[in-house]
Amino acid sequence: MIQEHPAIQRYLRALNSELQRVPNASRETIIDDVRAHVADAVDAGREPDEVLAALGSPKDVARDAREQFGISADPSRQDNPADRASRMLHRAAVILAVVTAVFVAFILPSYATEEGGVSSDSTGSTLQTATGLFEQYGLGVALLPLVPALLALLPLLSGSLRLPVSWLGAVLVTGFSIVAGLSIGGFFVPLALLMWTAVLVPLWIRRGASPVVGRSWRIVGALLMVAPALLGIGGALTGTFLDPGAPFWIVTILAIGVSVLFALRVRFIDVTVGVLGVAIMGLAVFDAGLLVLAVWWGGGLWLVIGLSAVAARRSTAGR
Amino acid sequence: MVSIMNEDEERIATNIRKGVLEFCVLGLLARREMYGLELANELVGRSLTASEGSLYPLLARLRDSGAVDTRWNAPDVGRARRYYTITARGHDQLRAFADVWRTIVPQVGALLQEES
Repeated sequence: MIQEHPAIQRYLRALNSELQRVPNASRETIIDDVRAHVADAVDAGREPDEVLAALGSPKDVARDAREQFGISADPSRQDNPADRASRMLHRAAVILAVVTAVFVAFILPSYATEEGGVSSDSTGSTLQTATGLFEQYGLGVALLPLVPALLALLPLLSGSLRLPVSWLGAVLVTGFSIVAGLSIGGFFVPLALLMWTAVLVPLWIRRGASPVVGRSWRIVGALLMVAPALLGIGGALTGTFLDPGAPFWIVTILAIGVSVLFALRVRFIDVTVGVLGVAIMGLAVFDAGLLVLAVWWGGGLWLVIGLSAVAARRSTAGR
Repeated sequence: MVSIMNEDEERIATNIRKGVLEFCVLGLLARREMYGLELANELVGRSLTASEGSLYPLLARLRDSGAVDTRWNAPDVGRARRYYTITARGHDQLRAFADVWRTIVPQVGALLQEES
């Protein structure tokens, strides 16, 4: 393989950016073919500059491509799949951030009071004596959990800076959920996950939506979804988890079934997983008792996996 | 005067080629499978295209619509190449084009004969 001529590299880079709004798979094919065309022609003894001139300018090739794929010349009217996925996931992140904030500030009993409740209340009904952040500390503190919501919103408002702002938001929310992990931070773990997918899924699409990478992530997702059920079975079989009732087995079998269908990429399974995730998180909000954080994480994991699969599938639809 | 004639000819040729390039590609592929530069050389050699770059967006769209297919061929010596082959759907489209072409060409020819 010969060393690629700087003019050829420039040409291919320019072509790649001119082809931004052509579907990813086709853009990759065009770039690959043009690169091979130039390499073959140069091998055959033609001058690189002459070969590039005979191809026509990157702008002309891109105009041909837009005509072929029926894409309008006006960039504002048609946007690329990566941007669509990024917007969808960031909007979902804003909603999740607000719901998390409301949950943490108004519904969740604050941990400090809960501990006090345990010591002072011999009946152990901690949930009744506990108060929320809002009741305990007032509106100022109750608004603090909304900061991650702001971080989730910023990428939607930052136009061409969306990518760096998304990265920053994902890092900050992750940091917050770790640093404040012992109090309210843990509840922002699903949001942190979602903000990472809002960075990574568009990145995957922009890189050409490799089916191999997509399938690998889908399998990782299915394994993560099924992990709690497998742990439960392990516990039941070894006797650590004493006498699991019928509800446990029903839920476990359902979870395994849904995970398998997800791995197989059955129709509507992505949405189903997301909706189940929301339902599980709802369970955490209203009726989870001591396992509240674990249930919230489990539901959040399903929601994030479902959403990222929906975003990925929408971007590759019609291929 | 001569340069104006050439410009007119160039414009007319560009417009006509634009309409038939797709079927010329299918026609070439109906003979045998080819890789990008081979196709480009054939088209340029027959004066069927002026800008070789327009071939690749066309191939991408033909592949998208299922008229052509691709396969990689890695020879023992030299680089692996993406070869384009025509599909059954591509053959159908080529036949449909041939029917239209055969009705148009004699009519246009007859008109031009009257003109000269």
